[in-house]
Amino acid sequence: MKTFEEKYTAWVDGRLSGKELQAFEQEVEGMEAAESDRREVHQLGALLRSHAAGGGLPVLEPVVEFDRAVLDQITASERGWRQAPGSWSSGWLALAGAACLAVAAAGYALLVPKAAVPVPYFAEITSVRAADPSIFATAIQDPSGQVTVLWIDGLDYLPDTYKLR
Amino acid sequence: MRQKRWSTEFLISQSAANLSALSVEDDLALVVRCQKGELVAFNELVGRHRQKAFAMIYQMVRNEEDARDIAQEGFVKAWRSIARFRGESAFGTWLHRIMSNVAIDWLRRRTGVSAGEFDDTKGLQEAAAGARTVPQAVLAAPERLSDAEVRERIDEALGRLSSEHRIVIVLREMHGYEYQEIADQCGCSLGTVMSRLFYARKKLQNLLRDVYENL
Repeated sequence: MKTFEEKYTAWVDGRLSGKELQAFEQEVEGMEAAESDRREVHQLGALLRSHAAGGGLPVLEPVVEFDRAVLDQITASERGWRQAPGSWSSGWLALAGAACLAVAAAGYALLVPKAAVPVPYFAEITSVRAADPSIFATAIQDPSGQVTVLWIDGLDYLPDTYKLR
Repeated sequence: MRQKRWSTEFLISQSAANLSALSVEDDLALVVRCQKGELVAFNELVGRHRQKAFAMIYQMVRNEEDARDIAQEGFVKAWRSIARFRGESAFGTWLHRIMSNVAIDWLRRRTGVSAGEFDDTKGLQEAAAGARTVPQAVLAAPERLSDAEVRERIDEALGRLSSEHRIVIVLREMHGYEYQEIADQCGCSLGTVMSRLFYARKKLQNLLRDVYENL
């Protein structure tokens, strides 16, 4: 449902016809006054159009500076586009994405601690230190942790003061 | 679109040097060259259309400095969009739409309402009542105004409209846009455009009656 203002505007601009026009003419009180108003609106339109077409508007000066500013803005924006990610082609974007994934995978492999994996051997060597460099000590531990064997080479006997640390 | 880095000095000198060659080309031929990345051709189009674009924007924003900035922004947008120009309308018409869009966006971004703006509610009470009975003409002395005075009166009257009303008046009355085109550009309904046009006309009738009746 059009408002009165919408219908009036359409009528002034000659956009009403048929039943719409008839209904509008019945709705308006005093068609003569309305016709007079329509003529006024047309006069107003003519005045405004002559104003727009005539020399009544400010002139753009100096034009050289204007042209230069436009070109400067275009060249600056194009430089920006070249640098901006938005201007990358889809190929470059795919390559960059793949590189990011590779870096992330490598970082994960290096930095994230792995879960303890059962040792497939019978025993593992633990840290052993001998005070005398001519003596070699080896420790062997059962993976179940129930038995530890200390094997020492280079000793004729085991002194009392030699302690296992 | 092929993109080249151009020096402004080079472009301006090229434009001057090629002026005679360019002047025989129509807008469409220049557009085709622009679509190949020739900024020199675009510079020629700017030269042809800048004054008209500036004038139209000025009518909407009422400030020369702002109109100049908006026109520049409009031309930059036109350059970025020129690859999509298909020649379905004249280049001037296409450019005109870009310029009015940029001006409307600019007006929307502005905050605050100036003292001269028109209140729709007030308009509804005053103009709708008047519209049914038709406002009485305020008869002015039959004194013929000079062209400069007429321009001043029109400028002043347009300046007293709200930006929404000014946009519809400028686009409809001065540039012949259809209601739907204005609605598309303003992002509002057809009914809103027609309603704004109604109130804007009433306001201008009251402000300019003595001018158009004595011309």
